[in-house]
Amino acid sequence: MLSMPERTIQVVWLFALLLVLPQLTSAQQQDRDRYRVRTATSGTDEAEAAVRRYRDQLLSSGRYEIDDAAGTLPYGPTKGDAIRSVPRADAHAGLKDYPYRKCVACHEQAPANIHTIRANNTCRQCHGGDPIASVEHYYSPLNPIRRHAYACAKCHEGANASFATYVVHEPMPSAADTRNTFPALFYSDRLMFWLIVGVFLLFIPHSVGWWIREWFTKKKPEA
Amino acid sequence: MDTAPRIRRFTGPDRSMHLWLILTFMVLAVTGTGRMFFSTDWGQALLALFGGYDSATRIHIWAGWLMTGGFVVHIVVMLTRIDWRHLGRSLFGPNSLVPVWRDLKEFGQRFAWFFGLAKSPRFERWTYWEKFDYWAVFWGVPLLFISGLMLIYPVETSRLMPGWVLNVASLIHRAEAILAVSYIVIVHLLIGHFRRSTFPLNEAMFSGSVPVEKAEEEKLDWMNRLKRENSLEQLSASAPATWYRVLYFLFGYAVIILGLYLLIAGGYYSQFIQIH
Repeated sequence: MLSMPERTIQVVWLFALLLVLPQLTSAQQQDRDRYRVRTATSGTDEAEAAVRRYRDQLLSSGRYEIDDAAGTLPYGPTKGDAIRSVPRADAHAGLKDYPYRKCVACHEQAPANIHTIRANNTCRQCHGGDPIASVEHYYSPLNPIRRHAYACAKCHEGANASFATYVVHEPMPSAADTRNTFPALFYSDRLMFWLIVGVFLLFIPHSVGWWIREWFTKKKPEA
Repeated sequence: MDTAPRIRRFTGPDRSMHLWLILTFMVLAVTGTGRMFFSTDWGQALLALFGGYDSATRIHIWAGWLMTGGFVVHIVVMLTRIDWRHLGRSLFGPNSLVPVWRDLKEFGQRFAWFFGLAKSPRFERWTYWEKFDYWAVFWGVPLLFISGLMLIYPVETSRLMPGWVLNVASLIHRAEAILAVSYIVIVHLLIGHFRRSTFPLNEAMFSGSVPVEKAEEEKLDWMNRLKRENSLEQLSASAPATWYRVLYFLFGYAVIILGLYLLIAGGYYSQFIQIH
């Protein structure tokens, strides 16, 4: 039999639930609908389609093969590092067969992020159409001075500069480099990892020991 | 019907709250697993059970709110059970779930008992593993709620803290969810139900009572205290009806099978997921 305080609490909670119900629509669903409307008119889908058409035409002609694994740089790694250290208005200038290549040919890990996997975003939808500027160059829509407005806010209405500090291409949390590039992520990962390991190191032997021990405990005869 | 004398272990509200927890937890586990394994066929199949990714996301969020609502109600109920005039005894006494030094001692003694080096501890009302199970959920739910809330409302969250905190929130939410589901299935369900003294099902939380004889085997100090205080009669209970036993057996096994399925399939498909 429920006591008065317990009954009262249940009624209060039910009432609170009714008040909260209309607020439970996800902001993310609204964002995704907004993006579909925006990209239908902005021309970014056209840029993606054009690259795919060039590539398909070239491959279907049968006269050309594109080896996505082959190197594309007309210079060696040392000069490449020097060139990459300076933001450029066209980050892909001078690359062999660039119009016919997929982004992942060189940026292999880039698609491993929630925006690509779940929202099905393509690279140019955030990085802009060609020529794609380096992120640090002031032409780039992903430059930190304007990223929140030119990229994030296309889907996430009201995104501000703080929102744009979210790392889309998140590094592997457990990688050694991440300790320097994203320490909060690295140490959170370590904390959760050792928490999980610690809990199971304690309770798996405990559970197995208990299970085995009970087999050797004499069961009292039924009365 | 079983006529052996029984003692009440869990009240109706206790069992209702636990049932609420089971239902919301399993919905969150299945929808969350579908979302985490989005890039696999298995994840897509799980999401399809709920009408697709968007629908599963909405259900995941709803279940999260409902679980948190239950958690808040539980806290309020617990606060009403505290004897505020004798706070110390209420918080650290034998009927409290607050960990005390005795639990650490009993933990060590229990391990020694596993190897035949000591007698099993004579437990009081709450054993150390029951307290661990309780507090693990007690801090796990707010952690998942806060990180989940940040992920539901990312723009609003980034007004209060830097946007990169969302990366951390996402990692913590996923890691805590994995820990919660794995622990509940491996420890709470398998060992709880499949050891010799409880097989085929540990009925205590469903029926609310256990035979007195069983209580004396497992928690002798508690039973002795009740006899000293002459309060054993107040906690006497009747055996559950057969139809009710059938119902909770079916429900309990459905939950165990679902949990095992998520764990085993999740372990296999984890090699195919593409985000860290």
